[in-house]
Amino acid sequence: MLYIILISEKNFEGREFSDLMIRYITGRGEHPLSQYPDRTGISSGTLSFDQLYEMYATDVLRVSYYYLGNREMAEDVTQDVFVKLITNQPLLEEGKEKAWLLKVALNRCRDLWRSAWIKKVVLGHPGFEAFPAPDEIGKMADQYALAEAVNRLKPEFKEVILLFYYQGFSVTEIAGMLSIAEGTVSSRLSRAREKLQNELKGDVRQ
Amino acid sequence: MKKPEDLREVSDQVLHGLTADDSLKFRILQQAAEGKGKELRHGFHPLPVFCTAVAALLIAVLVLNSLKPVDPASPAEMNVFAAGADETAHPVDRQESISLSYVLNTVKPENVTSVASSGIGKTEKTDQCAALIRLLQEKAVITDSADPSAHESLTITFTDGTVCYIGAEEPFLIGDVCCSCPSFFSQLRQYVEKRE
Repeated sequence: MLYIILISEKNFEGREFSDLMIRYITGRGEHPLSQYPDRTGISSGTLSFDQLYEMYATDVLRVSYYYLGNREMAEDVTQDVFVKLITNQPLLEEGKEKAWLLKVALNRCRDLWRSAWIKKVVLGHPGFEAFPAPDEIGKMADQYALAEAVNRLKPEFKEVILLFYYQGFSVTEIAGMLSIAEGTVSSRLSRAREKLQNELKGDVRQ
Repeated sequence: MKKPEDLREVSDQVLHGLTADDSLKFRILQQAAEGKGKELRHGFHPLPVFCTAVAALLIAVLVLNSLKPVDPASPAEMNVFAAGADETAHPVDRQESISLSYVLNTVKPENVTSVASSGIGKTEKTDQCAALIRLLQEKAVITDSADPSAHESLTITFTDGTVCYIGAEEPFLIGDVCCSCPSFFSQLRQYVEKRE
């Protein structure tokens, strides 16, 4: 019962999914995802949609969240990216799936960032919300400071920091993903590091 | 103080509760399914289909119109073809012509503005025209003995612009029906000669 309540509350926006899930748990229906049995062969090497989603969707979601500072929009971006994966069925090289997903996500985030609506409505009220594990609450000021500082960076610095430090891509890979020169990536990384240090020192002084 | 190098670890802690769950996956699959439907609908272009339908309708109307049976009693739509008559003798607007049977049965004589025969001549005096129509209506005898090789034509014009274009081979008038009326021709000849 607790599980049902948690699902209902957690997915209050996806009402249909919650209802279907409750039916499934109470033995009155099939699993909500069972109506989409054919999710394999997304033309990404040997990985199916399910595998790609399990492996990379959270990374896409979190990078988008870092970029936009808004959970709903980050979920929308993640949704767009994976819908694009299904509908366009791009030919992805094995091992390059994550790069493709993050590249598409960053492009989408950039579009949203540039749009007047997000500047006025969302970014006019900045605030990076943490989603910590229950036992981590209260002992994560340092972590939050770093995450918030990354969120406050300008998009061009934020992109390279997230891809380099968070997602572990090399400078060459980042240059390819963002279609910029490697020197530009290195330069942005250096300046982003400097800005982060300044931000974090400022927080420490406060 | 944390450094950028700690970002992976920090993110796992700070954003621990921010995960892509089954609910989001469901949304994605649902939207992808709808998107595929939309893609199919994108293949449907309403304008060409609409234009094709309109064109087909127009063609159908034209074909049906051409197949429509001729109603001898409807003067405005009647085309009268004189069998063997010289149609160029008195060129008239075929679209506004009316039938011989209509002239014989329905036309008011005072509504005729001219009567012209390619062999005899033409009168435009309304009283003479009316007299000629009365003669036709009173004296003409419907017959099937008309000479199909008639080479004259008779044109009767009405006040509203409609025209009766029929073949003539004295004493016959040849249209949707054939009739014989020698007095019509002699009277018309008299009027024409008197005018000259």
